[in-house]
Amino acid sequence: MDHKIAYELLDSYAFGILDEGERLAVEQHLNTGCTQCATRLREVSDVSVRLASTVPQVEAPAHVKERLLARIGMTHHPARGARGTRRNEGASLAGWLRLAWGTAGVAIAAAVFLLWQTNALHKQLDETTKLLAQNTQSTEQMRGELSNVKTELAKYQHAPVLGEPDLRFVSLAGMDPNPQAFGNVVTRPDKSSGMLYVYRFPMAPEDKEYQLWGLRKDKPPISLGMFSVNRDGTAMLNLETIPAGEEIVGFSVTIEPMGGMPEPTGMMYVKGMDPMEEDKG
Amino acid sequence: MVKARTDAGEGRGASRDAGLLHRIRDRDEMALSDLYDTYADYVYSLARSIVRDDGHAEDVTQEVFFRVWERAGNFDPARGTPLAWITTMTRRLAIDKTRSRGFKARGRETSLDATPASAATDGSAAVLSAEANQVLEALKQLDEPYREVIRLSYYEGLSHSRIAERTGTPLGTVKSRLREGVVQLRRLLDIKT
Repeated sequence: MDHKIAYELLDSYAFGILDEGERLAVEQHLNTGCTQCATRLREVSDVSVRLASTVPQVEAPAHVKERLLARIGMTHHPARGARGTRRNEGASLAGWLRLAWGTAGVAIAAAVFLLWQTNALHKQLDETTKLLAQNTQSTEQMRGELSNVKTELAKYQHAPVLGEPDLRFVSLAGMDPNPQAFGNVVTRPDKSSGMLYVYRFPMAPEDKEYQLWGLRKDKPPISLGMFSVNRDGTAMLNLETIPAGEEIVGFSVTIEPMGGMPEPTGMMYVKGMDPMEEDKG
Repeated sequence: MVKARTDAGEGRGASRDAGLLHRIRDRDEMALSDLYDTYADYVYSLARSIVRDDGHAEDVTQEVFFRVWERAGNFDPARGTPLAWITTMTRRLAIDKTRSRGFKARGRETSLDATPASAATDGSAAVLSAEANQVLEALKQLDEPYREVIRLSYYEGLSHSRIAERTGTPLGTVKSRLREGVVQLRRLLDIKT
């Protein structure tokens, strides 16, 4: 953005009334180190603070701070709330996968995702092992981390892998609360194990998480696991709890109280039926 | 319960706040807690004056301090005090919320005249601080076109184009009046750089 234009927008920037595009352009200009604009912004900001003094003060409810600290706790300690998911590792690949599924098909993309996930976990395992050797003062902490990574890695040992014959794919479509959400479940033919991938999911409230259900013919759904989503709206869940002999004809995801429910009670976010089971019907 | 604001502005200890931001950047949760305790009511009140809804104001307050936690390293003292940084962020998030699709203020609508200037005189607000009265007095001294554009932009959070539309004034005039109004206000308030 031209200096003159940015300079003229600084009042509105400080007042917070610019639209997103203008705001980013002003910030980009400020980031060039323009001292004239920085000085002007300081002057305008002073006025903005003084004007704010005319707003009668109201006490903020106590639960706002509690929620803030809980939110920060989850962000600051990634191990918390990460059950069934991997945080901050899916952003770029998630975008790639969406494209791939539209072009190369679900099977390849899902398998690549899984390979990538496994590689990432191996890499993290290597790095953690190195750190363990280097820093004796943090030995206990890093052992815990190493254990977590190993546990995470172990989850995928029995998951379907690239090249396995007859893998089955069930597409999950977004439902009313969030129609843009979508996902896939990849399972072995006997559904003894599988993987769930979801995209464009909103973060669940602190006291809730998502629950995957296996839909059965003429029987109530069974729970296949709980998961939370990454900040980019993606999540992956290893399905290691599919009971043997169950005829799963489809999958759905609902939002439920933390810890899960014996049967769905919350809003359904995605749902999909196994086309092969439908053919049978 | 509405309380009077006190000791706003530069007197809040910019250097102390900058120190807290420095510690927050280093992931010191206690520093964030201190900063929150200092400014939570201020942020909440400012957000509430814009979104006119307790729930939305709570959301904005949480988001402001979350961003402080995430972006404390972005604070640049050359551009203003920590309080100014927080103020700008609060206003922007609150205004963005009012502009978001499906936004509904569940509280009462505030007319142009129901800004703090009138709140200071009706029964709903307690006595404002001396500083607030000084600012209101300075606003009264502004020529009407400048006062109006500041009221619409600051107290109602309207964009340039919305102000132009509301007042039937050309867009360029709105921008220049806002700039000149801020300059005049700064002079009236005797703010030193």
